[in-house]
Amino acid sequence: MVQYNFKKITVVPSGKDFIDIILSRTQRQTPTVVHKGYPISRLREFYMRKVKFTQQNFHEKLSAIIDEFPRLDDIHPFYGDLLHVLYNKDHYKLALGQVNTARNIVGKIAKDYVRLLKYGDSLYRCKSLKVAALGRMCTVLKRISPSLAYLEQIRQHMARLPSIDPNTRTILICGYPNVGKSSFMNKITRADVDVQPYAFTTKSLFVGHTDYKYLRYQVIDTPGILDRPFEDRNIIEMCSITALAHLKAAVLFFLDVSGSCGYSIEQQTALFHSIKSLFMNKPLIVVCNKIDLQPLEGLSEEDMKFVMEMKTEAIKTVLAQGGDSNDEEVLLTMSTMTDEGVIAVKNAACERLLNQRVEIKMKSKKINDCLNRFHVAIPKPRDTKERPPCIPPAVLEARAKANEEKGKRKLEKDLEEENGGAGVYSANLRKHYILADEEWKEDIMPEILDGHNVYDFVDPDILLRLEELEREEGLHLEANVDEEDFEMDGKELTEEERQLLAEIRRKKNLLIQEHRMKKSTAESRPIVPRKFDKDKKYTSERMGRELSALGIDPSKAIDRARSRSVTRRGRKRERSLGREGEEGEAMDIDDELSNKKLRTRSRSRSRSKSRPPGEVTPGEGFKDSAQKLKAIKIAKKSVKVRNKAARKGEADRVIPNLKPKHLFSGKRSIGKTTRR
Amino acid sequence: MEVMEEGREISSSNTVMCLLTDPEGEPLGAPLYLPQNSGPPQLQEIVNKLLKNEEKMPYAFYISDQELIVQLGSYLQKNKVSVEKVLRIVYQPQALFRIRPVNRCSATIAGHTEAVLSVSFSPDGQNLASGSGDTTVRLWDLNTQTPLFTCSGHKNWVLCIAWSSDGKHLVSGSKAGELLTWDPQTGKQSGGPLLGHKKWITGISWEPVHLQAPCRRFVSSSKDGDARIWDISLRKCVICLSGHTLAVTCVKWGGDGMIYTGSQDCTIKVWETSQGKLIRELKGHGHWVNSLALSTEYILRTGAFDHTRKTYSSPEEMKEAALARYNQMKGNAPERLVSGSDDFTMFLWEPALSKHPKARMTGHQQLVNHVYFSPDGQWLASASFDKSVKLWNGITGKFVASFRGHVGPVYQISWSADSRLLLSGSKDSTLKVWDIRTQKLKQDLPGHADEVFSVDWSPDGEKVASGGKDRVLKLWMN
Amino acid sequence: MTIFVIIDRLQETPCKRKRKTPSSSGFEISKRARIGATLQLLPQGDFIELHRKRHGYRLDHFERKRKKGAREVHELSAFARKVLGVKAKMFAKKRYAEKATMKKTLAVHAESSSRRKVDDKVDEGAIPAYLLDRDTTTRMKVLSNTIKQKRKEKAGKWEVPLPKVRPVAEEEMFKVIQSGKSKSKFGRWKRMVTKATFVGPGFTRKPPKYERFLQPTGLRFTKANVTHPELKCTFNLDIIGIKKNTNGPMYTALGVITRGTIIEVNVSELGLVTPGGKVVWGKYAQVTNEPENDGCVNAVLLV
Repeated sequence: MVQYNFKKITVVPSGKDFIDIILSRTQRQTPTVVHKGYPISRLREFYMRKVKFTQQNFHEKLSAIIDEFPRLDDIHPFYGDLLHVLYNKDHYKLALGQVNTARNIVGKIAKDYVRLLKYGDSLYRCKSLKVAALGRMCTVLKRISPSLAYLEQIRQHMARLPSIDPNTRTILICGYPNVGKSSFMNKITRADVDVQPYAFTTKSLFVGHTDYKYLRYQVIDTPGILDRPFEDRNIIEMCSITALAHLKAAVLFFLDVSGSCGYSIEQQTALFHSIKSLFMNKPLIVVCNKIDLQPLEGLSEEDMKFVMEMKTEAIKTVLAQGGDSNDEEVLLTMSTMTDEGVIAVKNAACERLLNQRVEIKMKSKKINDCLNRFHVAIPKPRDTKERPPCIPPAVLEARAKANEEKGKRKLEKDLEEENGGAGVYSANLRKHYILADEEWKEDIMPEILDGHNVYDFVDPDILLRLEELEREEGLHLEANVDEEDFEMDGKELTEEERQLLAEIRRKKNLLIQEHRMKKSTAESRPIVPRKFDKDKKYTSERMGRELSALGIDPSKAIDRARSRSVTRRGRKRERSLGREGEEGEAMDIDDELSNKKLRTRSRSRSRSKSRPPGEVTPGEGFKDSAQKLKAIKIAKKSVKVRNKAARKGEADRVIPNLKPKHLFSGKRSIGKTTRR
Repeated sequence: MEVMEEGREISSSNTVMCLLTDPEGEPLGAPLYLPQNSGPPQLQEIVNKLLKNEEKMPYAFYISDQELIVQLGSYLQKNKVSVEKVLRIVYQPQALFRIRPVNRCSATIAGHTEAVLSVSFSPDGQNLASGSGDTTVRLWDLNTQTPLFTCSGHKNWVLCIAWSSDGKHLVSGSKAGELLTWDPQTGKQSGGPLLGHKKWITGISWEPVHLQAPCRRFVSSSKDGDARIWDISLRKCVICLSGHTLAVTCVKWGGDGMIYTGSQDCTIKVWETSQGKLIRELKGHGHWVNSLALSTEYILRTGAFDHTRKTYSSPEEMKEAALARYNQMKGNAPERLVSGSDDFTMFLWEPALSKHPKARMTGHQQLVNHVYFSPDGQWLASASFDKSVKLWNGITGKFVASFRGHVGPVYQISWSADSRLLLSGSKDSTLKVWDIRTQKLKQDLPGHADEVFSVDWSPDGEKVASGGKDRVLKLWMN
Repeated sequence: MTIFVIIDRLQETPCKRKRKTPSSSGFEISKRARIGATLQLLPQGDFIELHRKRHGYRLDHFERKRKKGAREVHELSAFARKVLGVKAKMFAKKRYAEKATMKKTLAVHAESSSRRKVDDKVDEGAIPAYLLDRDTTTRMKVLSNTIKQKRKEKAGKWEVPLPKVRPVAEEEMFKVIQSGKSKSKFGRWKRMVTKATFVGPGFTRKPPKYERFLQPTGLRFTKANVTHPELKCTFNLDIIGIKKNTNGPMYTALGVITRGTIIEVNVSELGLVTPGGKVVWGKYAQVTNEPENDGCVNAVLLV
């Protein structure tokens, strides 16, 4: 069976969003890196892919819209007409038609531009063709944005339509406005329809469910109908008419006999006759509501005549179906106010509907397939003797006793009655306490004692734990007794030895500290920063001068300074140079020499000596070195990897967003931290 | 009867049984045997004799909506009509006078500094007024073909102008919604502006002179959905006719004291003029109603003035003369109304009799912008945006002919006083004169440099005035 | 069966909202797109509203709402500071548009409160009452002076919107195509036009032996988007022919369309009229874009 559920249609984005979605998808899901140096076929391919991809996305999304929205001709006529009444079929079809046209146009554009791209002969041309293609597709979409907005509105509305199954057992409630349709609905189902004392409170169809004979019945509450020509009816009334026309249901025509709805019985009868054609072939019950205000018997003669007219009409429908009528089933009275007759109406309607459905099913061909599969066996009575089920007398006795007991037990309710009734009696909760001693029940328990909250000191299993602790202690004690026999190491040392040990440790500690201090000061000794030494006046010579002025031999200090610098620098050289600067004295000069040697040697290997370092020789088809330089630069640039992560250099390790929100904020079961 | 019998005796093979009827279908006497060699002149004489006319009237004869030009015998041969049957010949009275078609531009008068939106001759044909987008109304001297007065006072474009049918007053309505009355003799504004409409004026119509002798009241329709009846002696709005839900596009004051309004809400409403009560609502159009026309409209417009250029001394005299003309024109048939709409159709109504249309006229392929009855009420012309003008039978609403030739939408049409010629002005910058008898183009009048917004044929038939987007007023003569 | 009658009628309820406009050629969507705006739906399944009607709002509803509103600006600014790349661009654009409209509305409000001067202004371009409610976009001006126009055309001089046109080199215009088996330069006498071309309806290619220039079908165009400079509206019109390609007569003969080329277009749809009341059908227009880059020909009508 087809289930009508319009809730699953996906959201139709507005024109602008649609474009954003598609374009960003193209951006994300197609390659983005392209170079001028690539072969032209690759460039064409690159841009064609973008155009085709965009078109495919458009096609998918638009097709999804077209497919998901129900086609009015294909769905059940009830829904078809309901949707027509609510949204106007022409508009609906037009909007979908426009989406379809847009889809085709986008396809055509893509085809055209892919064809043009085949003739693209440069990156620029291919790119501008791609831009033009995407732009035109977006323009097409922009044009249909009103239609998309309309469809979205429709979608939201459709999702809210009641889920009526047009084929199931259905009871339909109809009548003039304000005759008590919704009240009845609320009485027999769990639906919570708004009931107000004015006409057209119910503006749309409502659905509820009720049970009868273990079967589920769908009850539909319709908005009120006025008696006027078909053309003048408004959308609200048309909903009712649609439901009446298309649903195979038991119809309850509500009649307000008191006339407190503002319409006389005559008017209501007129309505009945004007829509009577819609009741054809359906179980119909005329329900006289509000009999608490005006009993049916007290009606004036004319009104009674109208009611009887309806009744005969209703009986006719019964007879037309080939049923035999009894009066009660066709005209029923009730009052939703006093609940009088409500259940009777419901039962009658359900019964009639069920009978009719069964009858129809019995007539249908399919039933034979089912009927010959089941068989209810009823054994034939072998004699007239009655054989009731046998219950042993003991059981009966036990049952009776149990009943009696139940009656006898004194309930809290009885206690309340005895001690002055509700409001006076306060139940004693303490008597149900489960305590070690019955007498404690009534003890007074202070909440605060000596300024302390008693509850803070309550520990329900204090005794248990105490016991445990004691047991543990016992074990310890036992163990200690065992250990007495062994000698610990510390105990072996003499007093003298102990002192020595302490001394050693102290000294060790001191040494460590000293070392640390030394290390820190040596390493982080402030050197005069370069900015205070712009003209390089803090030289080793100056230091020597100053030291000698103080009467100290500076040679060692100078040596020291030099040696440090030498060692530092020298170590680097060592590897390449092998041995040379082993001796400290000759270091400075040697270093120079070795460097020079190094340079000359390496140079001679690579190029002629007449060239200045770093010069680029022309050749390889370049006019001059400047042109070649330029070419090299361009070549380097073209192979440079694009700085995707926007780093300044390889040292740049900044993470712009250390904790991206979406990765670190809590995952909520529903919604987000800010919005639920 | 004797004549008939004689005819039969002479030669039964050379006669044909004819029944002469008037346009309404009333037979004139019993069927006659007429000789086949008799043509329109003979028929004319017979009709004159049968009707006992003192002075001879010209008549045109139609057999099944086709004019009879040749002799009866050749007609029968040509169309292969059986001689056995009774031939129904419809006679239609023609105007006594004949108006020559205009064929040259006699003057191009510059003056307006914006597009000319409406031109109108006074009922006696002696004065010409025009309203323009430069917010002025101008009166022109027809003898010297020079500007006479420039009437400024409007706040916005002057959309409509209307002469009272005694020719004593001129009213103009503007886009700002105010109405001004002018004295055509002095070109001065008489009294202050008539305020009340909230949006622009779409149409003005005066009360016919045969109902009230010095013209006092007129009705105006506006975009705001109301029509208002004004009294120029009280200088205020007497009655406000409200009921349309959308803009009123057209208003006509009928000869029987009823007002017809057509609106964009697809309905035509008929109002009574003393208290402004709604009498009828004519429904049928599927889209905006653009234009209304009455069968008596030309007579109502010209009032007591006719082609003889008679002048009247007192209003009473004028009223009587107008009433006589009106009754003669109307005959015993009720007033007919035609409406042209955006749904490409027209309806012919007889509002006095029924609220249902008498005929639905389809054929246009674009909206119908202007409809107009010929002065004698026999014809009906419609101007449409589908570049054609169509001619219909004014009594039955049957399609007669389609005039094609314009290459742009046709905006306005105007009839010559003798109902023999039709003038149309179009967006394609030309005016065209069509001959009703031959149903052909009579004269093409190029000359405007841009769209022609308004055309009018003077009641005395000598001149045609046209104005358009090129800001000049053109006068055409023969 | 009355019911069927009723149902039948149900489906043909007249719809007065829709205006039946006869269709002209071209893209139909924009004309129909107006329908969306008039939609008004019945309330349906408004359970939230019903609940509120019965039980009122949640106790902290307004407080939450206020807080949410107060928080919103902060959230937005936080987002604006954080967002990167194309999203940032989109966001900035949206923000800018919002601010601009807000400023405009504020200005409008300020004006409306200060003074009321609406109808005082007399607009240019007066039109009669019967045209006031109609669409006037397709209104055309009658061509001024035919003789002058003709003389101008004869002289081959126009006042063109693009007086200076970039000359196109031969290398750019043509691509060498190898023909035949010969790999020598003698086999390379064939050229393919790499620009957009127009070849006319009755065009047949020469036999391959004599065909020196190829105009690939993919780059052939038959329609142009022509803008009328005075009306400021654009039409998609058929190209009739190439009048002049400024790069040389050969290009004109080949039908190459580049920027600045003068083309002749079929303007009969526009309904331009001569003072004599005749419809003009062919007019010249200058191409304003590079068709091979945009995939369409854009041109300005020369009037």
